[in-house]
Amino acid sequence: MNLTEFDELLACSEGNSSPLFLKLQAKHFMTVEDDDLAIELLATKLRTRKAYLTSFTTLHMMVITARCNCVCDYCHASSIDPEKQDVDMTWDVAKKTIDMIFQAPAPSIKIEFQGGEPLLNWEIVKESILYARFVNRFAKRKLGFVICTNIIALTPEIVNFCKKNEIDLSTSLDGPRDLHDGHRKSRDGRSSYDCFKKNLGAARLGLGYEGCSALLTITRDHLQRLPEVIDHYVEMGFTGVFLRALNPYGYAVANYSNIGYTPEEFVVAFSKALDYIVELNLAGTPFVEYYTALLLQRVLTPFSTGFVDLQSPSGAGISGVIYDYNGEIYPADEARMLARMGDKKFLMGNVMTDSYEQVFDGPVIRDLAYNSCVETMPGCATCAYQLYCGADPIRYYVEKGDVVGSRPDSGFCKKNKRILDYIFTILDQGDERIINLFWAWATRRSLSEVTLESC
Amino acid sequence: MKVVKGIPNNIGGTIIGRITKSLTPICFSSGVILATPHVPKWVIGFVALITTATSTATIPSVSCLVSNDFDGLCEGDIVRLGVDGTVQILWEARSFQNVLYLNDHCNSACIMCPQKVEGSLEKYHSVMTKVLSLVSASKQVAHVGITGGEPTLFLENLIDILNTCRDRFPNAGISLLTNGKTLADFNTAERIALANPNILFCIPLYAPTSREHDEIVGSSGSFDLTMKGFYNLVRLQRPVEIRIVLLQQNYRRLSDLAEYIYRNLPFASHIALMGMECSGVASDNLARVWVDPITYQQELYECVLEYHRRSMNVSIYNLPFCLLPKDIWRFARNSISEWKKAYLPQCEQCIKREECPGIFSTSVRQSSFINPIVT
Repeated sequence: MNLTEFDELLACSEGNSSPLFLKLQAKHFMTVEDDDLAIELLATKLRTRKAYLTSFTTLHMMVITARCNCVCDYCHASSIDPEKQDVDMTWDVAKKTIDMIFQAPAPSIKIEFQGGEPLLNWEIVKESILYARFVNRFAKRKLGFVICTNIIALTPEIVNFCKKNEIDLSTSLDGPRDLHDGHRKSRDGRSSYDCFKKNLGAARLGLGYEGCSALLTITRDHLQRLPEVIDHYVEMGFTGVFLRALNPYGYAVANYSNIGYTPEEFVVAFSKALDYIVELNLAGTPFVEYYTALLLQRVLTPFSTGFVDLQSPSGAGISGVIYDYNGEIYPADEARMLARMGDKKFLMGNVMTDSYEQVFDGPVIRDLAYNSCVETMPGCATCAYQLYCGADPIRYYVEKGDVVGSRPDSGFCKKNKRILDYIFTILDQGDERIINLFWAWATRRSLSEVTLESC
Repeated sequence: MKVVKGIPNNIGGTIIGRITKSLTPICFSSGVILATPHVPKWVIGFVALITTATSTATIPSVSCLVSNDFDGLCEGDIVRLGVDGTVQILWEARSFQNVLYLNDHCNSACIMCPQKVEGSLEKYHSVMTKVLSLVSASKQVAHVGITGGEPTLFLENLIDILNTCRDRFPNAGISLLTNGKTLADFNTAERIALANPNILFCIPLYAPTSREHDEIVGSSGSFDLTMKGFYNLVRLQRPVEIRIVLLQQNYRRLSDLAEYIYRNLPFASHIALMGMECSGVASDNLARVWVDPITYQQELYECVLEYHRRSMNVSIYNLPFCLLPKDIWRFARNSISEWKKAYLPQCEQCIKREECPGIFSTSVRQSSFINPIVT
């Protein structure tokens, strides 16, 4: 809308029938007096967007051990040497954790095994899965499992077990060999890339391509080489990538000067990489950038999206929760990492001593929910992108010492605002082929399902 | 509905019956009408006779029917004979498009209504009840359309018909054509929804604002009531189809309407974009409502694309291929009732003639751009 149009709109009396007014009325930007229906529809739209709240905690992460056979320079979790077995989750803690998980009212429950490297404490992973399945025979939830692993310690026995129990593997790939090995260092000095490649083949044989996803962590080294990384993902048979920025936790803090970058630098690289991915798709290679896909779902569709890290109120504790190896419960991975760095501010309780109500209706989760609604937070409340965004109170706390924080100059805000700017620029340019692709991503279909051209 | 005419004999009042063409001259089930080219000597047990010959029978009959019209009558069809010799086909045994007309009253006054609702006191309900009772029990009925007028206006009659359909044809899908306004009352919506589990509610929405929609339906407050009706149906977990007639007043608004529907009614199971039937009120208002479909090709293309991108199930009704951009041909459906469907002489040369949805023979105005597709 230009200024003249805006002035004309303001000058119009009630009962306006100008095309612009009607367009804005249809989108519920403007209304005539006493429009009860508009209020009802807006309420429904808001309820639809916030539908993720009704099921409460769906994602339950269990830190099976803090030990790891790798020392990645960006490790958020500050992994511990494999020899120190006192950082393993014991069966007592695992059992109590699963008992607590099934007290959540969510109709669908996903249990994610994390670390450290969970395969180093495989017996507990296995027993936990078997026990959870047993409990679910009565609880009858839609139950899923994911193991987050570097797959170095993968064995045929583990693959078979995963296949039998329909367990997905979420692993990590940082690009071509030099980049991967440069950042994902195995403790024994062998190439973690070679090991990854070999074991990925074995895992895919058992679990199929859909059963093994990979996560990319972007360091300073990656910024200039993202197209190469993307090519590598395609070559390895992955159908998408999440272009994820580093978070300021764990080893990433100490190594920041080597691996870190500014949000502005990240978004420049992100935008170029997104262009590259778009071109790949238009040239016939289906490949999704998952963060863009998530944001597009929010921009283009009226539906709720279940991404824990970008919700309002924050998904911390409400959508996802993490159980540390010692039974301590935190609202998010970052809160657990913060605890490892010495600050237990977000400790919600312990599975060994506290009840479900004490933990999930306690002061930590209430405080987080109250202080993480972007609709009411200063700065966010008037942001045009508020509808698509969310709060990250734990990160604000880490950066500013306060869960509300000061967002306009936070890296989180700068990154998201600029990425959304870029997505809107592309939408605004109106290249029909790209808009078709974006709709395909937003509705999780292939490009050919979205286009109209008769074959 | 389709009507043919012959010469009446001994018809004192309207007669409704099921047609048989079987030559057995004696019939013991009630309500059966014998249709035969050769009148047998004895006709016993039939309520009436339809023939192409001249009739000398003593029972009520319609005779001297043109053989083309006679051939159009099929075993199991249900017809109404009028005192003037008309044969009205109320139910076609071979059709999947049978429609029950429940009344001719309406609480809207759409400027492009293809009917003229007169609010007559005719006993539609008893006629339709009779039709349903006559439908051969051995026939598998797959689908029943229910319309009016506005079929929900006489609620008890509608509930009765829906119950009858549920009991007699438990597997038949029911398309209930309603403007949805009475469904703004939750109890009404609930009673209808519970009367038959197989109802697809087919409800029109012509524009994305009350001002525009209400102007088209000729009744203020309609938009709000219809929207509330939609919401009550989704609360009742019933499927809804949204019907959008394309006319002068809304063709520029189709893409905004698509976005409105996606944002506010994403649960709609089907969206039908419908070419206008220029009869009844629409024919009276032709100068006001008419737009040649060739004019809105681009708007139609764009809005089909918008629905398709949003993964919404969209169809185009009542428009021939030659008026549609090729890329959206695959959304065109064979939607016009067989008895109303027509083609123009030039259509004979068209290579798409066999699959083409055709045009309304009932329309007083046709597009000037109906041309055979030759390549």
